[in-house]
Amino acid sequence: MDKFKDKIFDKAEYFLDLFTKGREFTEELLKENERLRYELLKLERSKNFPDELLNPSNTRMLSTIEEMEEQIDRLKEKIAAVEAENIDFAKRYVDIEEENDKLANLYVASFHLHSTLELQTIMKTISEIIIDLVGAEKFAVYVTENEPGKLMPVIAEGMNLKDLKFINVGQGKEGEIAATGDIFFVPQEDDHPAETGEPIVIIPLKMKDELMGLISIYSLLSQKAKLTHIDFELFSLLASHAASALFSAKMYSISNRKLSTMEGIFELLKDS
Amino acid sequence: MEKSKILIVEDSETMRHLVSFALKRLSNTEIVEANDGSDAIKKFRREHFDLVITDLMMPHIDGFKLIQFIRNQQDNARIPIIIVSTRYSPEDRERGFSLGANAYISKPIHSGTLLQAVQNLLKDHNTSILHKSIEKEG
Repeated sequence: MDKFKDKIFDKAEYFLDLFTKGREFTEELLKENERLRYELLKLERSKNFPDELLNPSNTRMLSTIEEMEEQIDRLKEKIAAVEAENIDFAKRYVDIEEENDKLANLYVASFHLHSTLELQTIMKTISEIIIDLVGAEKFAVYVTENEPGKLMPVIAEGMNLKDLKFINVGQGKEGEIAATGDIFFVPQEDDHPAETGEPIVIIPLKMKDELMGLISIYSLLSQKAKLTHIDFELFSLLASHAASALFSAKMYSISNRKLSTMEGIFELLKDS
Repeated sequence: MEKSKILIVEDSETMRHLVSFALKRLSNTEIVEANDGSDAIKKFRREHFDLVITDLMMPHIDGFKLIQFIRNQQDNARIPIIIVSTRYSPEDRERGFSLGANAYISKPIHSGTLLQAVQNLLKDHNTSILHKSIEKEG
């Protein structure tokens, strides 16, 4: 009987011990849980979330915030894409404006070069194009004289016409360019390059193989830092269109002279 | 809405054409051309303009004298004036502004710059006219 009692007591002690350990373990778990909750709270607070959102009952609100944050991120991406597109549009606008300027300049220049058959007016138009459209300060225009292989100065801007000499085709820089027929220009590395007295641009005016004249530009206006691609288009236009305008004016003048001579002869024949 | 009348005063035919060509992009405007200062004055005696674009170096009556003439007239004292010139010295700019010019654009021109100046000045001018008429009515 005593033995049986002892056995029961042993078992009771064993279970009691077991429960005690279980309670201690549970208490430890609860403490750990509390510690983790506290850490979570600290973490959430550091993210500036309002206290009420930390309540587990507000999980819906938290998920809504997450969704909104995702939406904000998507909107930010879209804004960035639109901004990039805007920059692209702005660049294209600048390009179109430049192209528009170029076309307007070329249209107006060619319109005026071909709107007359009077040599004086053509010369005036050439000057206007070089001053107003290109922005040249010093330049000279030469035309072929009756003497072959020679170019006579007819316009001087920013310098004295009397100081300019005839150009012999094939001699000197301008003469060489006149012989080749290709436009020459000094590569413009810096803005407002120093004036050297030498031409920075030479434009031979050629009608097919026939040299009609030559334009030499020595310096640009102070507000014009350097030549632009519109200027090179204008030089090409001048090279061919100014030459054909000069050719037409020459032909017109010759035919007019011949016509008046013929008329004179007819008058004489009539009288006799 | 009434058309804005713009006078271009320029002795260079090429330049006058280029400016007029650029201004054609503006809607609701009428362009009148004068080939120098005296031609502009003749036109001013006959009609009213909302804006003037003038060169400085012109035969007979230059741009400075033209600005003086315009500003001395009571009716035209507030017309916006834009100088478009190859002259670019600070003295010329200062003289132009002191005589009453509202903008100074140097040649060679960029049509965008010119259009922007014209649009801004026309807008300001039309607003001041509107204010004046409201004041009168009030």
